[in-house]
Amino acid sequence: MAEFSIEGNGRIERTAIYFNGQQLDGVREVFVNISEDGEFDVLLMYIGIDGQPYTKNVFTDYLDNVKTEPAGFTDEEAQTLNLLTIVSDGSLDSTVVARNNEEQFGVVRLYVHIKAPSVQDGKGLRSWFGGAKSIPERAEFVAEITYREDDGQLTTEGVF
Amino acid sequence: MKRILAIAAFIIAVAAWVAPLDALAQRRGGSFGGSRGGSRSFGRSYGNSSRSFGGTRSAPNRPSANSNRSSGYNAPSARNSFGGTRMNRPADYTGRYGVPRATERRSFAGANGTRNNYVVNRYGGMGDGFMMGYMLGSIPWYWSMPFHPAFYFSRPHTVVNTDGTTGVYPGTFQWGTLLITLLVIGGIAFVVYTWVKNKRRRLGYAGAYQPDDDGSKSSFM
Repeated sequence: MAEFSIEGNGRIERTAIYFNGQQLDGVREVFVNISEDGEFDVLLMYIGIDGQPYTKNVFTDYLDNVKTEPAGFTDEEAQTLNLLTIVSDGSLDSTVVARNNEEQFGVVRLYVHIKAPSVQDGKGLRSWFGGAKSIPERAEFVAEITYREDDGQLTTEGVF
Repeated sequence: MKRILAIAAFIIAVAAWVAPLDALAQRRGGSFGGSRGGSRSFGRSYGNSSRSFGGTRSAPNRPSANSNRSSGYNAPSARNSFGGTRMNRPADYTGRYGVPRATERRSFAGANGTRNNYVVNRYGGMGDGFMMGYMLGSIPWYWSMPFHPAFYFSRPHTVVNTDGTTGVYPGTFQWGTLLITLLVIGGIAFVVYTWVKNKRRRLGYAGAYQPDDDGSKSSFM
């Protein structure tokens, strides 16, 4: 069972990604889409220590050349942040979602999409005048969790 | 789109800088066009008679032997209306800028130490001051810099008067130089602005945290 955690306050500058307790570095994008209907996508895009981009399924793939770093947030800072943890072996049946270390029940869907603005350094004179070819998209930060209440209604909350 | 604008501005700036606009502007002069008023030789009145035939050769328009031929256009024998510059005659300058406010004869030292006499025509203004600087041989280096007004004035115009003296007229403001300078400076500024803007965008969140550094707050780069 691997543990994948996202800690932050809703801003990319204050968002840390942990895999089995280690803070990852060089992350470009996180995409989580788990629903009770059987969707199970937990994708991580990062720049490895070799400078190459990688796209991995967190719970089924080995994170090649992933960069790690010491935990950036202190305990005091962590108290002001929200922690979303996913513990799974890659199957929906054995997946546990926790918010601030509290196990969640009645989850219908978990959707997280955090993406840093991907801007790469161009080369040559052309890169001076835009480099728009290397800027495909803007930053994105969406993290929602949908619960089924006792009365059967669905409630969607923001995670961070 | 911005890349195309930047390249176009750069090309225009370089082309405008390289093109000899001043020389072209002067060469197109000659005697034709412009607004020289009554100094034009053509279209003069030939008296009441509108034809050349009939009558006698002693028509009123025929100058007598004692008449002063210079009352008409006294063109030097070696000069015609074609070629040269527009400032061949004093009238070329006075026709455009009027009568000088002051005219004085002054002697300036030449390059070889000899002193030459000039008829200095003063109009006032900055061009007048620059003219005296040029004539005195005092030409600071910053006069050739775009931030100094002298950069946008031509050199003083010297013309040979009909009496053989050399007349000096102040330099004139060169709109072409100003335009070229604005284009070049604007082009450079645009290139620098675009470069800085794109560099900031390439840095992304580097201002908030340094990517790839250990111990950073965020995992994203």
